[in-house]
Amino acid sequence: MEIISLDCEDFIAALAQLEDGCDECHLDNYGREPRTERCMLDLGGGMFTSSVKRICKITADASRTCTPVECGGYF
Amino acid sequence: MHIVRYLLWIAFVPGITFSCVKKETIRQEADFSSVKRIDVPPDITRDEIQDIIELDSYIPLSNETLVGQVEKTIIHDDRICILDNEPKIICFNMKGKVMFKIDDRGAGPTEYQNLKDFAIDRYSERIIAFDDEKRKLSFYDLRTGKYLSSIPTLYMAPTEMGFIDGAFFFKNMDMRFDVQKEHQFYLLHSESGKQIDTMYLPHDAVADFNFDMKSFFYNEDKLLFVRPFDNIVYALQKAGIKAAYEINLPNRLPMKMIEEKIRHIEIPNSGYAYGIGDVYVAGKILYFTFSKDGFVVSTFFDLSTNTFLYNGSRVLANARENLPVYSLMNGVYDGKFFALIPASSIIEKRTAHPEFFHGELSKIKEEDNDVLVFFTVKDLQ
Repeated sequence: MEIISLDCEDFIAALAQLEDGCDECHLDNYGREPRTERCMLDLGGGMFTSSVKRICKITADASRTCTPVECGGYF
Repeated sequence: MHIVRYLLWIAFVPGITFSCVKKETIRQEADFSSVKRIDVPPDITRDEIQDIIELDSYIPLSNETLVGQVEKTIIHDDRICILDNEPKIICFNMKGKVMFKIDDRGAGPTEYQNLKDFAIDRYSERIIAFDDEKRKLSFYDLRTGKYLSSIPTLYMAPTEMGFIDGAFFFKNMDMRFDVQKEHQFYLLHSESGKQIDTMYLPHDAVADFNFDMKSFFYNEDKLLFVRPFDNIVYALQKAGIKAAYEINLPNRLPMKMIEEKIRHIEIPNSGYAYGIGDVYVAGKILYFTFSKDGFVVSTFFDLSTNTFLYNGSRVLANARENLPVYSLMNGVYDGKFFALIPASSIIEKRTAHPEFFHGELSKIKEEDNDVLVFFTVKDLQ
């Protein structure tokens, strides 16, 4: 069999694309996990930050679910 | 197709085993040899800032493309590049005209699902965008915005990215993916973006607290980093990281509260100070913000005299001739602080004091894009 010479890093990248190239798998195969961030309200010369919001980030655990909460919403 | 994949695996896996040796990831500590200590006084004023900063110039951003909520702004070589929450990247010239936009959301191989962060590589003249859902880095031409290439980053799952001095830095805040169990450090460094080379700042209770704040701050040719809920500002370099400032906040949120998992909603009004961010240095002036009692406190500190020029929450209540508008700083360019001011904020100030608004600022309409404003700090000596 002919041996193909490839740069090591390109080779790993190529295999990663074959195995895990996630262009189409990102939505269905992942769950969502909550994270909290500060809310900012521009007062026009100052900034009010007395509430937080919940955002949802992808996680490998497909069973995890998350509902986003807007600033000032119920936690 | 499956047979082809199988054959490829049979042919190439032994090759990997014997010919490719992955570089070892190094765990390294930060250099604390030249850290500057700054003790923030407990008296946080509600008064306006004195005449120490003034508007230098401004650029209304063209409405050719409407900008959403701004997530990050980087100015490099007279290009103003903005990542918004839609998400897309728009680059303007210094006259406010759109040069190009990167707006390719989709499932295709050259498209992104969610642009979480971006950076500019000044050496190769590329925009680097990080997609945290497809988990890849994409590269675009800095002059045209044209897509060039991408590399997968399935070996990590960061929440933020920085790029300086030809090196990547990633903020690793949580354990959402199995691969992260190998990286229980807050800051990951990568020379190529294809693997992690160095890890800094080991995880503590904050990593498991699920409360994130922005950590990377560009200061022209420098990149600063602050871990969420920490008080050390690090200067990042390819060769290593250095603690630059130790900022001691008054009544700082104790780590014990995070270990006991204080409810997130209780933090803003807990009376504790937390969340150092927006750390920028212009000349001898250090600017940063933090949160306390439901307000963002803006601090201007003179590094040459070790004095606080301002430490307060209501920086500008009323427009004035030299300072008609103000917002939290978004960066430093050409030795000046800059901030993106929403059109609504300009109109509110202008309605009360139209006499201080001239030129383009007098014509801004509610539906217009933000205005990029540059500020200078007066030399008080």
